[in-house]
Amino acid sequence: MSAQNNTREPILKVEHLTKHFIIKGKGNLHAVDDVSFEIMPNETLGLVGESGCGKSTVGNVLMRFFPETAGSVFYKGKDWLKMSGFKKKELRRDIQMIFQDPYSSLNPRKTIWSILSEPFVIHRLCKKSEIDTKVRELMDTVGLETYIQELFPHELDGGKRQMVGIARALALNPKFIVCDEPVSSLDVSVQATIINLLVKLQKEMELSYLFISHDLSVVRHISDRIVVMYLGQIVETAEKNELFLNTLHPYSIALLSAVPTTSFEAEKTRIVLEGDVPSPLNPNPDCCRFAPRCWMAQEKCFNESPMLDDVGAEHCVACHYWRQSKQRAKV
Amino acid sequence: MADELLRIENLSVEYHVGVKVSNAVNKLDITINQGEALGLVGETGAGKTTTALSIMNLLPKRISFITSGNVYYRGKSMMEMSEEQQNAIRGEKISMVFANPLSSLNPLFTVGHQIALAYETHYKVSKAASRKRAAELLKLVGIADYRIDDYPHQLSGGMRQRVGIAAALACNPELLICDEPTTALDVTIQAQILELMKNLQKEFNSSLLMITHNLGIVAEMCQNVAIMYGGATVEHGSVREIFTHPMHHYTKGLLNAIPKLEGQTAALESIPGLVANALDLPGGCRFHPRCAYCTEECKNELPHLMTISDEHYVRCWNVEGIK
Repeated sequence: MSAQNNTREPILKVEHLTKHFIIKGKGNLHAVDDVSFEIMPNETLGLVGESGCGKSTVGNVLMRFFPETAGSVFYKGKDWLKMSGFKKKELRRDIQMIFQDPYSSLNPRKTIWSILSEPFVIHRLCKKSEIDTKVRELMDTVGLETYIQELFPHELDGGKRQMVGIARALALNPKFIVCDEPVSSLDVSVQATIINLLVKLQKEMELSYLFISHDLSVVRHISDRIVVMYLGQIVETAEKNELFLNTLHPYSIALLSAVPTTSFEAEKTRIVLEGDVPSPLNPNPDCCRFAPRCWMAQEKCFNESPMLDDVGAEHCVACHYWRQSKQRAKV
Repeated sequence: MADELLRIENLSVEYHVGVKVSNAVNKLDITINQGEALGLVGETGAGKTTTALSIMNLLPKRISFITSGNVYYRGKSMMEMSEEQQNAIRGEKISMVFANPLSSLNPLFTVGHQIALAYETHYKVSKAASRKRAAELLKLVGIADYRIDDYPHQLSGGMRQRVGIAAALACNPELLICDEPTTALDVTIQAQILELMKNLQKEFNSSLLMITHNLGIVAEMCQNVAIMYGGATVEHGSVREIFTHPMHHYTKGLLNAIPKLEGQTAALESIPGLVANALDLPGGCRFHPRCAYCTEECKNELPHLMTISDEHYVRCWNVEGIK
């Protein structure tokens, strides 16, 4: 198994994934536009962006909650989005999801036991008599006490509920988990517990994560590589430290500078973006989508949409003027 | 010594939930001076919002009771004032920005009307004059004034929150209470709002009570900070002093629990256990069941407020041990 990992064959390969929603009378909402990335085994890919930039849509399309408009997703070389029937169900075991809101993602009418036993029942992975032990093992891995299995979700606090959500995702021994903002609705002290748990589980079970979040500091903590999205497109992708130390895209620079920190050492220059995130309805294909809010936009930006260019060291950026962005930001 | 604007003294608030009693705030002391920005930090259920509501005397009637203490505004007790006297202060001298802009604005009225309302009520001016003031305020918070006749649902989340701020600023209040003003917003929008509030605070020399669970916001916005746990402050002082030399184990835990944007990524320290339940508060130091340095003394007796320096006060029995 580990020998295979060394060959660096991606576990998940997303190619030109596009998702448009048709809104009656208004046109096409470009939620995700031509997004490509790879996730290696045992790696965490962080997906950052503001609300409405399409990061959750990427996760949902990967889970096949709704169909893609174009593009393909290869899981271990197999075309996952084209699969159906038995093969699809079999692969489902490998691809699981942890949801954002632990309050609405657990069925309020079921006990924790029946929530956690459901994956085994649906996939018929073990005998009925074994389910009890399986559920107990599962609760053990995430560190839930056994008495909780008789309770209902409303009797647990947010952190415990999220642990149940994680346990459910782990039930079928997945290889790849989509984590859609798993800690954003939790208090800081509980958030740390959940993050530590996710890191520990990744080591123990050789998991790969797609970690979707709007919180840059959380993403930095947990990810190996990071993808920054803006209005349905990838604007920058790089290895974690490279992205944080050598930020090139003007949007990423602004996003990083906007995070309030508790450190007093570095005097920060803050770039405050003007206006709101524009609507992704019918965007102009010949204009950089960030240009209307960009602090260094020039004429070219409004006439030509930039491509995602490799600038070396596996660092890709979609901006015409990335060479100048760093110096400009310091002024 | 700056002028004292607001003093909360020995405040205790109870909520009666059925037959149970929830001690939301316990003997809280807070002072805010003229021009000062104070951050009130704590997790869910620490009693932050209850504190804010009791300053404004907006606690839900019948189920909440102020059992002890008092709130003094410029030396005058708010609790002993008549309803009219309170109304004269609320909205004019002290105003509040609420957490969720979607639920704090009335969907049936235009934003211009809602901003103008406070101005009209307090200064008894004509409709035209208050409308002019509303347009001014909208411009001040960075919204084009042609949107004055828009309804809240026509605005984005960031704009709605700016409308909330504009309404709170209508009468140039001396104290602005912000209850989690940016939790519902994106980081870039949050940066806009914080920048706006910083500028306005400088311009009008008003005081700010910033209620939040985000330590980063406090570090950027405030000079002083009070950390709340179980309905009382456990540590307070200047932001720089407290964030660089935290003394209380809860403060330390909070600071270590947030992932950093700089430096090495080590495993996060989480605080074991759960936030103290206001329905069943532990005796002694409220934090002792979760504290790694807990002693017998901590379990039995509430620690006194210890003075570390002029800028640093802490409520913990083991301060010497920490050093």
